[in-house]
Amino acid sequence: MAEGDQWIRIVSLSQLREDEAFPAKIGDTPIALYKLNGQVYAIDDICTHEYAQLSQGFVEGATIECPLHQATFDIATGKCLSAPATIDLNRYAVRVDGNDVFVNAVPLKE
Amino acid sequence: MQRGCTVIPAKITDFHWLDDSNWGAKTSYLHVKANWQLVVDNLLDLTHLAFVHETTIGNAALAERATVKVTRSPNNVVVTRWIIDQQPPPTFKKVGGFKGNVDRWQIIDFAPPAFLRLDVGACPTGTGAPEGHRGDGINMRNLNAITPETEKTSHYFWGQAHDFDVKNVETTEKIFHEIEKAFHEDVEVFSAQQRNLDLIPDPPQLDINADAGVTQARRILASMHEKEQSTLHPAAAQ
Repeated sequence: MAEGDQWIRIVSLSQLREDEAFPAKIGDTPIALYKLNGQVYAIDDICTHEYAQLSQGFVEGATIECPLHQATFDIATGKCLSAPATIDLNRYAVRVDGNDVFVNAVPLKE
Repeated sequence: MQRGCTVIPAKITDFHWLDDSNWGAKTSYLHVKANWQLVVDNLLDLTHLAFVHETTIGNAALAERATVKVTRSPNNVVVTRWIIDQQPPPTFKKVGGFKGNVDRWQIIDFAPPAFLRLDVGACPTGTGAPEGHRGDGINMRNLNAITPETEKTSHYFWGQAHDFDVKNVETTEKIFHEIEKAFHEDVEVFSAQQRNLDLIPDPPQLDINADAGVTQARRILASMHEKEQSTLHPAAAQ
């Protein structure tokens, strides 16, 4: 199946704010969208350490900090940057078409 | 030895609503049979209203429908909760006269070590409260200052202020008694929590998203405590 078949419209670009998370879902999977310097990124929204919604955490520069135990992740790549988490987040391809933001339902492979 | 004390007025937490002529207010005191931190934790996580205060200021929407945002700075945590287009709880129906659904806010401002100022209220849904227009509803401030007495008992000073019908003592009393009823329920919970902690000291902790404000406040307090200890005992800190 071509990657393009699985694009899902998530939100209007105008609804995204710089340095703020926008929680959403792909099927049952919670994801979060972020706009940093005009670029939109999509990563998993559940911390890989314990169950916590990262979109309720703190955007610090290009990272998101878990609201509970301070694990941090790179917003652009999903890479885990600090303990107590040790596992990276899935990241998803994002396509902006006019004012529409689409996310590909299949996580990107490294 | 008598020590000097310098007061910096700008650092005194503002509780002006309690004696501001534009607000009606009443204050009170509770003795708590629990560690002071449990009172602070309770005020930073208002999902508990849904489970403990169903007859007054709570309803299920607070736990199930709230949009929550936590912001922080080195000396402050603010938890902002909005509950949009939901039934008001019993107290709000009584004192606000709401007939339909409301947009309700709870903005909790924590200033260490134990000052909690709650900006709370509701407006009929669709009248613009989330955008800042609060004139069609009720605005209240719930103000709290907690002081440890012992490791397991605390002094809990609190007050409730309202910006509507401000000169009517009956209104002030009505609101106060609703909140007082809820706070007595809290005091029972604090005692039970302390009893459990006495049975199992340092129990394993499971945090959930609603604990985000609590977690950030505890980090500020831990950092202040560490700084104070290193000032008092510089050798030990090295």
